[in-house]
Amino acid sequence: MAQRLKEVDVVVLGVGFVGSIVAKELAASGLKVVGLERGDPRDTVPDFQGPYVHDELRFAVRKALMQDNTREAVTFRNNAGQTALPVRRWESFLPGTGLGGAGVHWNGQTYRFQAADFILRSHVEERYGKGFADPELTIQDWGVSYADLEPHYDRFEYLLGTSGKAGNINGKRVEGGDPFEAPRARDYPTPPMKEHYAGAIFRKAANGLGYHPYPQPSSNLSQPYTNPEGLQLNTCVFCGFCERFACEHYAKSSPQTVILPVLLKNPNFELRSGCQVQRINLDSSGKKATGVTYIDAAGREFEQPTGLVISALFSFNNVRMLLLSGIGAPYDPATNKGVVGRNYAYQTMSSAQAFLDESVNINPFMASGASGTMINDFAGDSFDHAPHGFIGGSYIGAINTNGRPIEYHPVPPGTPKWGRGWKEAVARHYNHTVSMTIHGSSMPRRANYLDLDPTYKDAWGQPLLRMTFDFPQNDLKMAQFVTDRAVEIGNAMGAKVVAGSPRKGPYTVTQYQTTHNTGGTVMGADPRTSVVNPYLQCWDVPNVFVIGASNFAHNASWNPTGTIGALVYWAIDALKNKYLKSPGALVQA
Amino acid sequence: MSAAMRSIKLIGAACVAMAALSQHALRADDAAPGSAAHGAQLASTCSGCHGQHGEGLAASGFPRLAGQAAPYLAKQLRDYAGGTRENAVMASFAKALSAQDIADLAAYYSTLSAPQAKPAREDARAATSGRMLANLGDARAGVQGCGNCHGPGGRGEAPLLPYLAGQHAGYLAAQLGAWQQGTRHNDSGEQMAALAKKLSAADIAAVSAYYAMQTPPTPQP
Repeated sequence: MAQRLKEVDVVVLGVGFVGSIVAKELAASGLKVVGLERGDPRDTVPDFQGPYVHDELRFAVRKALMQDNTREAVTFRNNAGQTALPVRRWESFLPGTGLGGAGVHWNGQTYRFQAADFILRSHVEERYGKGFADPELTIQDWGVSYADLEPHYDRFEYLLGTSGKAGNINGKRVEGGDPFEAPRARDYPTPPMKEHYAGAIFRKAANGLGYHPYPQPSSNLSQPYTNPEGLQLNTCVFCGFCERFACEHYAKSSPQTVILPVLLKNPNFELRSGCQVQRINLDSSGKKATGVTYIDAAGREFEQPTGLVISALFSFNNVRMLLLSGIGAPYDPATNKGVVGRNYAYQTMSSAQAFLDESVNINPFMASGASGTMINDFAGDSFDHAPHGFIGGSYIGAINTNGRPIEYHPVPPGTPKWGRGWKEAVARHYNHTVSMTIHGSSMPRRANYLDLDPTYKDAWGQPLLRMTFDFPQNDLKMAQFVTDRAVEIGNAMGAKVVAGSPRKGPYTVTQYQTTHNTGGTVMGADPRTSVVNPYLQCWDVPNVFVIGASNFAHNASWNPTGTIGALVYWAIDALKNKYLKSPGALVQA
Repeated sequence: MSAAMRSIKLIGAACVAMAALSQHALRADDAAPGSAAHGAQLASTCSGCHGQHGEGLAASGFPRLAGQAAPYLAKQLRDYAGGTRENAVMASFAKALSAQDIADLAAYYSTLSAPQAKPAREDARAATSGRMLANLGDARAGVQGCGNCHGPGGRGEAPLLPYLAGQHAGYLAAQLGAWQQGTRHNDSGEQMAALAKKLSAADIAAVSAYYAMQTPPTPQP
């Protein structure tokens, strides 16, 4: 029997980037806030210190910072005709856990989406005509515009201290930045990272082909920075242990470095770690949340009453929480009705490697999570898609995040997979290869969705989330087209061999691609095709807000964190200035 | 290779990475490889303060140079000459040296091995709070452990990150003070200035005393 606790004003589910920012703002406005985190509390000191933190086997291979999938996993199938099986070892995507969430082990690559992304269906129909996009794609407008989000992107970037170079300030083109970006109100808070040699070679080749290389925006910082919360960040030392690792230097923007120290000092906030939330409880009408039920690390069940629930979980878990709580109609691909779990999307990742002469020394180990040089010429809607028959695109970049010994050994096609030939090839090419990331958009399609698995349960007896996903033909065509462009860039570098690997179907869950899983609690202006309204408030239960990448109606060409940050501050603005003044539905269905 | 050894080597690689990004480091190639034999002749000027074997002089705060990596030592001489390390005495010596003299002196001192001048008595505060700060950092101050860059136990990460183990406490404390006050500002990312400013006088005394008690590394061939 659950022990009933004293009511609080707000319960925040998950204390990662989203949860810590929301909790900080609401606690500062005087509300009593409880943050429920399933993982452990942890901080830069003592948890992320060397030499322990630079253990590639522990963190990169065995994935020590990721969700424990012996207790809680995801099941997967490519299509509804298959039986989904649990993912026993994370490979394709790596959901994080613990205080700070994935914000601890991310790479710090911090982008904005293009203005066209937020009005995708309208934009594609206007530019290319109504029948242009493949009819299986369930693309739609987001119910929010880039102009709405701009001040909130700005606020998030200044919280993080992001290092970069603007390409468009208030509509004015700025040389050296990304000419395809939507206008920003001001430049990045800190200048770009130093360019590594792979980036310099890429820049020269891309310039020669008439493209527009620019420095990748990085939330591993180029110089010391004090953020608006008064917290200080240090300069990144290019240690080469960023993604999948925590930063020992206070140089990577994470909840621990940019917001948690302020939040944890506020007596209005209480962090409860080791707490596995089971469901959001509703009253008898099903239209109002009354609290949440969770189980602590000792196995005790608690009911925490509250007037306002913020679900700030990783995309999978935001979807699963609503399904477990009976909030919103589950999506059914057969009838195309229902909304929760709809428009699940991913990221269409391809790559190309340019194998250079032995006289060219790349020093790939000298890397930060986000020091790269890249182009957006084939990303988003930067280019005319009319001749190509697909929508979306990819950025291409020499984004060298590490040269770690266990996992980084680029070899040309045809190299033996093991033995002496392989070892010789690794030694020959390790220091002389430019690896290009081709980071592509992912369009939702009717057959891709998330729901509750009928068979498999977690350690607490709750059904696992089931993923049904395969790449749309649209995205595979796009991947081929952009990979061909990357190969041309590799050739322009003077490479002897350029190996392009465009993403191919079927989607496999046993090969690392990215953890940019999006959608499932999509935002929008129409309750028939969205779970939350444009303010990220549940249409069906107005005192539940859901915030995260699960709000994305599709996944754009860029890494999602910047847009998640913009959505957080956008929702906070609505919470503080609209909802708290007059609780209830902010948009009438 | 054990996991711990691998980690140590990888930290070394990381620190090489940081060093390689420094503009100053790139200038190290101005001179031909250093001649330790010629450096030994030049060192007669240095030995009055830094000792016959590069052991330094604890009481005066003159640092140990023995076994410190040559690129680090050479960079310090250039930085004294260039003013990013402010010290009137060292600046006048350094300005008189050619690029080749600097390379030769650095090569010479990097090969020396000098016995440690252990402090007369163990400092209890250093043994606890200094050790914590050195190896784990301080969460409240927002300071990471020194070992992240200076190596486990403060053994240094050649070529550009000096060893701290066995260095004289007075010198270490003076340098942390110089980073705080900006009279030393010769690291490319301002890491030392940023963290030194977060340390109290007691922190500096403790961590300096801790490293002074550790055994210095033997020179690498």
